[in-house]
Amino acid sequence: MRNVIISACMALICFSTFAPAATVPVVPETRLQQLEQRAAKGATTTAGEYANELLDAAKQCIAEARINFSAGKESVATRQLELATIQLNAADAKAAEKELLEKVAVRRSELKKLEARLERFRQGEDN
Amino acid sequence: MKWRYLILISAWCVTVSTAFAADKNKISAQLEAMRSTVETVAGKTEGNREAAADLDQARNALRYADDSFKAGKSMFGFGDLTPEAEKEIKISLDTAERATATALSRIEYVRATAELEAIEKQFAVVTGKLKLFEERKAEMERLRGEEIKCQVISKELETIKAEKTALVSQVEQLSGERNRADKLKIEQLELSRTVDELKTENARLTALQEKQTPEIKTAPVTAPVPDDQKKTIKK
Repeated sequence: MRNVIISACMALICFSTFAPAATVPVVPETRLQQLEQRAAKGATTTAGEYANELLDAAKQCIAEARINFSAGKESVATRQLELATIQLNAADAKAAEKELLEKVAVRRSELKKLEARLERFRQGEDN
Repeated sequence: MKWRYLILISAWCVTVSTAFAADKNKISAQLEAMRSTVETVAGKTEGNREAAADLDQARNALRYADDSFKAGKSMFGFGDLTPEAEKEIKISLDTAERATATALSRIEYVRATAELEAIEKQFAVVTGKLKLFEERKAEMERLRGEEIKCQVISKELETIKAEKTALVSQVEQLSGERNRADKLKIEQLELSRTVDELKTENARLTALQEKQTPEIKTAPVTAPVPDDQKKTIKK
Protein backbone atom coordinates (compact mmCIF):
# COMPACT_ATOMS: atom_id res chain seq x y z
CA MET A 1 0.00 0.00 0.00
CA ARG A 2 2.81 2.32 0.93
CA ASN A 3 4.60 1.54 -2.31
CA VAL A 4 1.46 2.23 -4.31
CA ILE A 5 1.01 5.61 -2.65
CA ILE A 6 4.64 6.52 -3.22
CA SER A 7 4.53 5.50 -6.89
CA ALA A 8 1.25 7.39 -7.37
CA CYS A 9 2.80 10.48 -5.80
CA MET A 10 5.87 10.09 -8.04
CA ALA A 11 3.65 9.75 -11.09
CA LEU A 12 1.67 12.83 -10.06
CA ILE A 13 4.88 14.82 -9.54
CA CYS A 14 6.17 13.70 -12.94
CA PHE A 15 2.97 14.72 -14.70
CA SER A 16 2.78 18.01 -12.87
CA THR A 17 6.33 18.91 -13.93
CA PHE A 18 6.58 17.41 -17.42
CA ALA A 19 3.10 18.19 -18.69
CA PRO A 20 3.44 21.99 -18.42
CA ALA A 21 6.99 21.73 -19.75
CA ALA A 22 5.62 20.01 -22.81
CA THR A 23 2.62 22.32 -23.37
CA VAL A 24 3.59 25.79 -22.13
CA PRO A 25 6.32 26.60 -24.68
CA VAL A 26 3.99 25.68 -27.55
CA VAL A 27 1.70 28.65 -26.96
CA PRO A 28 4.46 31.31 -26.80
CA GLU A 29 6.21 29.78 -29.81
CA THR A 30 3.02 29.97 -31.89
CA ARG A 31 2.41 33.48 -30.64
CA LEU A 32 6.02 34.47 -31.34
CA GLN A 33 5.83 33.11 -34.86
CA GLN A 34 2.53 34.89 -35.50
CA LEU A 35 4.02 38.17 -34.34
CA GLU A 36 7.18 37.66 -36.37
CA GLN A 37 5.10 36.95 -39.47
CA ARG A 38 2.97 39.99 -38.80
CA ALA A 39 6.07 42.17 -38.38
CA ALA A 40 7.58 40.75 -41.59
CA LYS A 41 4.34 41.32 -43.48
CA GLY A 42 4.01 44.82 -42.02
CA ALA A 43 7.39 45.72 -43.50
CA THR A 44 5.99 45.18 -47.00
CA THR A 45 2.94 47.39 -46.42
CA THR A 46 2.57 51.09 -45.75
CA ALA A 47 3.62 50.41 -42.14
CA GLY A 48 7.10 49.62 -43.47
CA GLU A 49 7.13 52.94 -45.26
CA TYR A 50 5.64 55.19 -42.61
CA ALA A 51 6.39 53.44 -39.27
CA ASN A 52 9.48 51.37 -39.85
CA GLU A 53 10.98 52.34 -36.48
CA LEU A 54 7.97 50.84 -34.70
CA LEU A 55 8.28 47.64 -36.71
CA ASP A 56 11.97 47.44 -35.85
CA ALA A 57 11.17 47.98 -32.17
CA ALA A 58 8.50 45.26 -32.36
CA LYS A 59 10.94 42.84 -33.99
CA GLN A 60 13.52 43.58 -31.31
CA CYS A 61 10.89 43.07 -28.64
CA ILE A 62 9.87 39.72 -30.13
CA ALA A 63 13.50 38.61 -30.26
CA GLU A 64 14.02 39.61 -26.61
CA ALA A 65 10.79 37.81 -25.65
CA ARG A 66 12.07 34.67 -27.36
CA ILE A 67 15.31 34.88 -25.37
CA ASN A 68 13.44 35.51 -22.12
CA PHE A 69 11.07 32.60 -22.78
CA SER A 70 14.11 30.39 -23.36
CA ALA A 71 15.66 31.69 -20.14
CA GLY A 72 12.49 30.91 -18.22
CA LYS A 73 11.61 34.55 -17.56
CA GLU A 74 8.04 34.06 -18.66
CA SER A 75 6.57 37.03 -16.90
CA VAL A 76 8.92 39.52 -18.60
CA ALA A 77 8.61 37.67 -21.91
CA THR A 78 4.81 37.82 -21.75
CA ARG A 79 4.97 41.58 -21.13
CA GLN A 80 7.34 41.89 -24.07
CA LEU A 81 4.93 40.00 -26.30
CA GLU A 82 2.17 42.37 -25.27
CA LEU A 83 4.43 45.32 -25.99
CA ALA A 84 5.34 43.85 -29.39
CA THR A 85 1.65 43.37 -30.23
CA ILE A 86 0.89 46.95 -29.29
CA GLN A 87 3.91 48.20 -31.23
CA LEU A 88 2.63 46.39 -34.32
CA ASN A 89 -0.83 47.87 -33.77
CA ALA A 90 0.81 51.25 -33.30
CA ALA A 91 2.77 50.81 -36.55
CA ASP A 92 -0.44 50.07 -38.46
CA ALA A 93 -2.29 52.98 -36.83
CA LYS A 94 0.64 55.38 -37.33
CA ALA A 95 1.02 54.35 -40.97
CA ALA A 96 -2.68 54.83 -41.62
CA GLU A 97 -2.58 58.20 -39.87
CA LYS A 98 0.51 59.42 -41.75
CA GLU A 99 -0.81 58.20 -45.09
CA LEU A 100 -4.12 59.94 -44.51
CA LEU A 101 -2.41 63.12 -43.30
CA GLU A 102 -0.28 63.16 -46.44
CA LYS A 103 -3.39 62.74 -48.55
CA VAL A 104 -5.10 65.52 -46.61
CA ALA A 105 -2.07 67.77 -47.11
CA VAL A 106 -2.02 67.06 -50.85
CA ARG A 107 -5.75 67.66 -51.25
CA ARG A 108 -5.55 70.80 -49.09
CA SER A 109 -2.76 72.12 -51.28
CA GLU A 110 -4.75 71.32 -54.43
CA LEU A 111 -7.82 72.99 -52.95
CA LYS A 112 -5.78 76.12 -52.13
CA LYS A 113 -4.55 76.25 -55.71
CA LEU A 114 -8.10 75.88 -57.01
CA GLU A 115 -9.36 78.55 -54.62
CA ALA A 116 -6.56 80.89 -55.72
CA ARG A 117 -7.53 80.27 -59.34
CA LEU A 118 -11.17 80.90 -58.53
CA GLU A 119 -10.19 84.14 -56.80
CA ARG A 120 -8.26 85.22 -59.91
CA PHE A 121 -11.36 84.46 -61.99
CA ARG A 122 -13.47 86.51 -59.58
CA GLN A 123 -11.10 89.44 -59.81
CA GLY A 124 -11.11 89.14 -63.59
CA GLU A 125 -7.40 88.40 -63.85
CA ASP A 126 -7.85 85.04 -65.51
CA ASN A 127 -10.50 85.99 -68.01
CA MET B 1 32.42 51.63 20.52
CA LYS B 2 29.21 49.61 20.20
CA TRP B 3 27.22 52.83 19.99
CA ARG B 4 29.47 54.08 17.22
CA TYR B 5 28.90 50.91 15.18
CA LEU B 6 25.20 51.14 15.86
CA ILE B 7 25.07 54.78 14.62
CA LEU B 8 27.10 53.93 11.50
CA ILE B 9 24.84 50.99 10.65
CA SER B 10 21.74 53.10 11.24
CA ALA B 11 23.11 55.87 9.00
CA TRP B 12 23.90 53.36 6.27
CA CYS B 13 20.39 51.90 6.54
CA VAL B 14 18.84 55.39 6.34
CA THR B 15 20.99 56.28 3.30
CA VAL B 16 20.19 53.06 1.51
CA SER B 17 16.47 53.23 2.29
CA THR B 18 16.40 56.89 1.14
CA ALA B 19 18.06 55.90 -2.11
CA PHE B 20 15.61 53.06 -2.61
CA ALA B 21 12.72 55.34 -1.70
CA ALA B 22 13.92 57.85 -4.31
CA ASP B 23 13.89 55.09 -6.97
CA LYS B 24 10.44 53.95 -5.87
CA ASN B 25 9.12 57.49 -5.87
CA LYS B 26 10.48 57.99 -9.38
CA ILE B 27 8.69 54.88 -10.66
CA SER B 28 5.55 55.82 -8.78
CA ALA B 29 5.66 59.30 -10.31
CA GLN B 30 6.14 57.81 -13.78
CA LEU B 31 3.14 55.55 -13.25
CA GLU B 32 1.02 58.45 -12.04
CA ALA B 33 2.10 60.64 -14.96
CA MET B 34 1.26 57.87 -17.41
CA ARG B 35 -2.09 57.27 -15.76
CA SER B 36 -2.86 60.99 -16.01
CA THR B 37 -1.88 60.98 -19.71
CA VAL B 38 -4.12 57.99 -20.39
CA GLU B 39 -7.10 59.67 -18.74
CA THR B 40 -6.43 62.94 -20.59
CA VAL B 41 -6.41 61.08 -23.90
CA ALA B 42 -9.54 59.16 -22.83
CA GLY B 43 -11.34 62.51 -22.70
CA LYS B 44 -10.62 63.00 -26.41
CA THR B 45 -11.82 59.66 -27.77
CA GLU B 46 -15.38 60.93 -28.53
CA GLY B 47 -16.83 57.48 -29.05
CA ASN B 48 -13.85 56.12 -30.97
CA ARG B 49 -14.03 52.42 -30.05
CA GLU B 50 -10.58 51.50 -31.35
CA ALA B 51 -8.98 54.30 -29.36
CA ALA B 52 -10.98 53.29 -26.29
CA ALA B 53 -9.71 49.72 -26.69
CA ASP B 54 -6.13 51.01 -26.94
CA LEU B 55 -6.62 53.02 -23.78
CA ASP B 56 -8.01 49.93 -22.03
CA GLN B 57 -4.80 48.15 -22.99
CA ALA B 58 -2.82 51.08 -21.59
CA ARG B 59 -4.79 50.88 -18.33
CA ASN B 60 -4.19 47.11 -18.16
CA ALA B 61 -0.49 47.69 -18.70
CA LEU B 62 -0.47 50.24 -15.89
CA ARG B 63 -2.29 47.73 -13.70
CA TYR B 64 0.43 45.16 -14.48
CA ALA B 65 3.03 47.78 -13.65
CA ASP B 66 1.31 48.48 -10.33
CA ASP B 67 1.21 44.76 -9.55
CA SER B 68 4.86 44.37 -10.44
CA PHE B 69 5.69 47.43 -8.36
CA LYS B 70 3.90 45.97 -5.33
CA ALA B 71 5.09 42.42 -5.81
CA GLY B 72 8.65 43.22 -6.83
CA LYS B 73 9.88 44.77 -3.60
CA SER B 74 12.53 42.75 -1.83
CA MET B 75 13.09 42.51 1.93
CA PHE B 76 9.38 42.27 2.76
CA GLY B 77 8.51 45.45 0.91
CA PHE B 78 11.26 47.61 2.42
CA GLY B 79 14.04 46.86 -0.05
CA ASP B 80 14.83 47.74 -3.62
CA LEU B 81 12.76 46.48 -6.56
CA THR B 82 14.05 43.27 -8.06
CA PRO B 83 15.65 43.72 -11.51
CA GLU B 84 12.93 41.57 -13.05
CA ALA B 85 10.18 43.69 -11.49
CA GLU B 86 11.91 46.87 -12.69
CA LYS B 87 12.09 45.44 -16.18
CA GLU B 88 8.45 44.43 -16.09
CA ILE B 89 7.45 47.90 -14.92
CA LYS B 90 9.53 49.52 -17.67
CA ILE B 91 7.96 47.25 -20.31
CA SER B 92 4.48 47.91 -18.93
CA LEU B 93 5.13 51.66 -18.97
CA ASP B 94 6.37 51.41 -22.57
CA THR B 95 3.27 49.37 -23.42
CA ALA B 96 0.97 51.96 -21.84
CA GLU B 97 2.82 54.79 -23.60
CA ARG B 98 2.69 53.05 -26.97
CA ALA B 99 -1.00 52.12 -26.55
CA THR B 100 -1.80 55.74 -25.66
CA ALA B 101 0.12 56.95 -28.71
CA THR B 102 -1.84 54.46 -30.83
CA ALA B 103 -5.10 55.81 -29.40
CA LEU B 104 -3.95 59.32 -30.31
CA SER B 105 -3.12 58.12 -33.83
CA ARG B 106 -6.61 56.67 -34.19
CA ILE B 107 -8.19 59.89 -32.87
CA GLU B 108 -6.08 61.89 -35.31
CA TYR B 109 -7.09 59.49 -38.11
CA VAL B 110 -10.78 60.14 -37.43
CA ARG B 111 -10.16 63.90 -37.30
CA ALA B 112 -8.14 63.78 -40.54
CA THR B 113 -10.89 61.70 -42.18
CA ALA B 114 -13.45 64.37 -41.25
CA GLU B 115 -11.10 67.08 -42.52
CA LEU B 116 -10.56 65.19 -45.77
CA GLU B 117 -14.32 64.84 -46.17
CA ALA B 118 -14.76 68.57 -45.65
CA ILE B 119 -11.94 69.28 -48.12
CA GLU B 120 -13.53 66.99 -50.69
CA LYS B 121 -16.87 68.79 -50.31
CA GLN B 122 -15.19 72.18 -50.66
CA PHE B 123 -13.22 70.77 -53.60
CA ALA B 124 -16.47 69.81 -55.33
CA VAL B 125 -17.94 73.28 -54.69
CA VAL B 126 -14.84 75.12 -55.95
CA THR B 127 -14.51 72.78 -58.93
CA GLY B 128 -18.15 73.48 -59.84
CA LYS B 129 -17.61 77.23 -59.65
CA LEU B 130 -14.40 76.98 -61.63
CA LYS B 131 -16.21 74.95 -64.28
CA LEU B 132 -18.77 77.72 -64.59
CA PHE B 133 -16.04 80.33 -64.90
CA GLU B 134 -14.19 78.22 -67.45
CA GLU B 135 -17.35 77.74 -69.48
CA ARG B 136 -17.92 81.49 -69.34
CA LYS B 137 -14.32 82.06 -70.39
CA ALA B 138 -14.71 79.63 -73.29
CA GLU B 139 -17.95 81.36 -74.26
CA MET B 140 -16.24 84.75 -74.15
CA GLU B 141 -13.39 83.46 -76.31
CA ARG B 142 -15.91 82.05 -78.75
CA LEU B 143 -17.74 85.38 -78.83
CA ARG B 144 -14.44 87.22 -79.35
CA GLY B 145 -13.76 84.92 -82.30
CA GLU B 146 -17.24 85.64 -83.61
CA GLU B 147 -16.62 89.36 -83.16
CA ILE B 148 -13.42 89.15 -85.19
CA LYS B 149 -15.27 87.20 -87.88
CA CYS B 150 -18.03 89.80 -87.81
CA GLN B 151 -15.49 92.59 -88.22
CA VAL B 152 -14.00 90.81 -91.24
CA ILE B 153 -17.46 90.23 -92.70
CA SER B 154 -18.37 93.86 -92.03
CA LYS B 155 -15.30 95.02 -93.94
CA GLU B 156 -16.14 92.66 -96.78
CA LEU B 157 -19.70 93.99 -96.76
CA GLU B 158 -18.45 97.55 -97.00
CA THR B 159 -16.22 96.58 -99.92
CA ILE B 160 -19.17 94.84 -101.60
CA LYS B 161 -21.34 97.90 -100.99
CA ALA B 162 -18.71 100.14 -102.59
CA GLU B 163 -18.46 97.72 -105.52
CA LYS B 164 -22.26 97.68 -105.79
CA THR B 165 -22.39 101.47 -105.78
CA ALA B 166 -19.80 101.55 -108.55
CA LEU B 167 -21.71 98.91 -110.48
CA VAL B 168 -25.00 100.79 -110.03
CA SER B 169 -23.44 103.95 -111.43
CA GLN B 170 -22.00 101.92 -114.29
CA VAL B 171 -25.42 100.36 -114.89
CA GLU B 172 -27.00 103.82 -114.88
CA GLN B 173 -24.39 105.10 -117.32
CA LEU B 174 -24.90 102.11 -119.57
CA SER B 175 -28.67 102.46 -119.34
CA GLY B 176 -28.35 106.10 -120.40
CA GLU B 177 -26.14 105.15 -123.29
CA ARG B 178 -28.54 102.40 -124.26
CA ASN B 179 -31.46 104.81 -124.16
CA ARG B 180 -29.55 107.19 -126.31
CA ALA B 181 -28.73 104.35 -128.68
CA ASP B 182 -32.39 103.35 -128.79
CA LYS B 183 -33.42 106.92 -129.54
CA LEU B 184 -30.81 107.11 -132.27
CA LYS B 185 -32.07 103.83 -133.67
CA ILE B 186 -35.61 105.16 -133.70
CA GLU B 187 -34.44 108.35 -135.32
CA GLN B 188 -32.51 106.31 -137.82
CA LEU B 189 -35.59 104.25 -138.58
CA GLU B 190 -37.63 107.40 -138.98
CA LEU B 191 -34.97 108.85 -141.23
CA SER B 192 -34.84 105.67 -143.24
CA ARG B 193 -38.59 105.76 -143.61
CA THR B 194 -38.41 109.43 -144.63
CA VAL B 195 -35.64 108.55 -147.08
CA ASP B 196 -37.80 105.77 -148.49
CA GLU B 197 -40.76 108.13 -148.77
CA LEU B 198 -38.59 110.70 -150.46
CA LYS B 199 -37.22 108.07 -152.77
CA THR B 200 -40.78 107.01 -153.60
CA GLU B 201 -41.78 110.62 -154.09
CA ASN B 202 -38.72 111.23 -156.16
CA ALA B 203 -39.49 108.24 -158.30
CA ARG B 204 -43.09 109.43 -158.70
CA LEU B 205 -41.98 112.91 -159.63
CA THR B 206 -39.35 111.58 -161.97
CA ALA B 207 -41.97 109.44 -163.64
CA LEU B 208 -44.32 112.42 -163.76
CA GLN B 209 -41.58 114.61 -165.19
CA GLU B 210 -40.74 112.07 -167.80
CA LYS B 211 -44.40 111.86 -168.73
CA GLN B 212 -44.66 115.62 -169.04
CA THR B 213 -41.40 116.09 -170.92
CA PRO B 214 -42.85 115.15 -174.41
CA GLU B 215 -45.71 117.53 -173.83
CA ILE B 216 -43.27 120.29 -173.15
CA LYS B 217 -41.36 119.40 -176.24
CA THR B 218 -44.60 119.73 -178.34
CA ALA B 219 -46.04 122.67 -176.57
CA PRO B 220 -43.47 124.55 -174.72
CA VAL B 221 -45.98 126.16 -172.57
CA THR B 222 -44.74 126.94 -169.21
CA ALA B 223 -47.28 125.39 -167.09
CA PRO B 224 -47.35 126.63 -163.53
CA VAL B 225 -45.78 124.14 -161.05
CA PRO B 226 -47.90 123.45 -157.99
CA ASP B 227 -46.49 124.74 -154.70
CA ASP B 228 -46.32 121.34 -153.01
CA GLN B 229 -44.29 119.94 -155.92
CA LYS B 230 -41.88 122.86 -155.64
CA LYS B 231 -41.29 122.14 -151.99
CA THR B 232 -40.65 118.47 -152.70
CA ILE B 233 -38.11 119.32 -155.34
CA LYS B 234 -36.29 121.67 -153.02
CA LYS B 235 -36.05 119.01 -150.48
